[in-house]
Amino acid sequence: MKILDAVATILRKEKIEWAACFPSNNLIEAVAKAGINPVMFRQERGAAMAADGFSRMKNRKEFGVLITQHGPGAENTGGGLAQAYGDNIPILYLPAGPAIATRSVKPNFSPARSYASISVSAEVLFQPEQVVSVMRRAFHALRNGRPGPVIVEIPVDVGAMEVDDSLVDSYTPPKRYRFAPHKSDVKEAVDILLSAQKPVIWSGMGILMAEASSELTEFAELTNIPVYCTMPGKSGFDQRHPLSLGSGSGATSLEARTWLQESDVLLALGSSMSRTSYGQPIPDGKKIIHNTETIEDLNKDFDITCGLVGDVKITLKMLIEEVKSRKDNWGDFESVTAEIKSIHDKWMAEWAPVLETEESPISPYRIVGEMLKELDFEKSVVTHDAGSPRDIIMPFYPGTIPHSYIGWGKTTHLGYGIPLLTGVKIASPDKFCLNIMGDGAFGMSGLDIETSVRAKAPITTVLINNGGMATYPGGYPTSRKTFGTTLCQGTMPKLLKD
Amino acid sequence: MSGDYAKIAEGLGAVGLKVTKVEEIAPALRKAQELNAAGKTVLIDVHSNIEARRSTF
Repeated sequence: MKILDAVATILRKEKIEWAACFPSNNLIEAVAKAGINPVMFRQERGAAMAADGFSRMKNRKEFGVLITQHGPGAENTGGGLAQAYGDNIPILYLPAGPAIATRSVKPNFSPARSYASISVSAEVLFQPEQVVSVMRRAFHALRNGRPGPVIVEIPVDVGAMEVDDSLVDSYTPPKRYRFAPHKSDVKEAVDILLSAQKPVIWSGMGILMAEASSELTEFAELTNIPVYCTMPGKSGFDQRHPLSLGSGSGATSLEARTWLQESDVLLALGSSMSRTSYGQPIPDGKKIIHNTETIEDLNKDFDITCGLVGDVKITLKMLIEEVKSRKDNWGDFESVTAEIKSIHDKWMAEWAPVLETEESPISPYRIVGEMLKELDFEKSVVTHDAGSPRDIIMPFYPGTIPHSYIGWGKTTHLGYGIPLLTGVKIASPDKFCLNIMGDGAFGMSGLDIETSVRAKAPITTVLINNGGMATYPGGYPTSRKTFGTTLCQGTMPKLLKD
Repeated sequence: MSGDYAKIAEGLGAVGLKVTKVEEIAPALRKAQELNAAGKTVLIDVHSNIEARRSTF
């Protein structure tokens, strides 16, 4: 068979059922012949983001696949790959590349070469005999190590080369391997937690990927330690739980802010511990216990006291076992939760009226207030878009069961919500999928509403239509008043007259 | 970049719902859930203010 058919056959062996694509690549035809549904998006970035959304829901058990054209198709994909790389999302990207003889000739664009810095693995399939080993390495990288985009570039003159059928038949999907931290590190972590005056749990996206929410809840209840969810980790711990501090972007709850500022020991679980201007800051001076699968993340942005390198579900089971083996006193559930509630109530005394405001034009906070009443949290998947929708909804709409909220955004690409949720809907067709975005974001991906229609992946987009973009507090007052820079209504002549 | 986004959504094969009053938000959210369940993609175009408040510290 031809190499493109071999790749499609291997994708089927990996139980891939659909691929996001744009606009032209003979691999699209090959996967269709193999029974894989190629869903055409309206732009490459949207296709990448839908693959990303699908992967987020599947916990490294299934993967979003992305196919684009060589040249412009590959060149336009960068934003979507960068978002997935920033958030550590495993997606498989299969672009065509320049013909072998022209690959090193400028200005030809090689996605494997140019996107190496925003992928966890990037290689080129040059020869027929490579097809199994290249795809084996790709799926190994999707399932193991730091999650992120995996690129296999197939030069346009390679896809039609013949490969022996028996070689393709030999392909066996590589496994996911889970590993545990050293027992002595677990003991040290528990010792540090026992010495803490005011500990806090920093719960990252790894909790979702490892399906460790029940272990996290058991551990929190055993130790009476409050839990904060990072933005990508939102919905890893049920925000209705009395030990929940909520979640945060740059905006968060008062109880989250209080514990993150005042705690003396921070236990980070399933987190890369990456500093980001789109998350909550962690003040210097804390003892940090850091669990991650990626050893390179230890001591990256923070000076850690104790590292727990391993799968977070296994790590939590070991922590639970260690805690249970001791007779130590872990504090009083009633007093800890009463303190959380007291701070929460003080915070909401200020914000509850905002969520109920009757202001006209409508405040986006009132939209969130109505969502709190009208949505079934456990039967919905909600996400924000970049900018003000994120910071408006993040503190107030709760993550409940795993993946009931997609809190993306260590980097935040405008317009991500529509294609993201289209991928989510394909992954979870029984969920009500809602994204909230501004009119600026709609300009980036609005036409992919049509993809949602055509792909029979019906989502709901709530559009905050206020004629403005980049509406961060403060904004650009001179630029806006003088030139109407961030207004989307075409009112510049009026402003200039004023 | 001004636009009637509900109409744009209709032009793309989705259902566009326009909301200009607070009392229209909840019915639109309920309608969207019904329409999604029936296979229809929905855009709710909410005429909003430029909101400056944030829960930041």
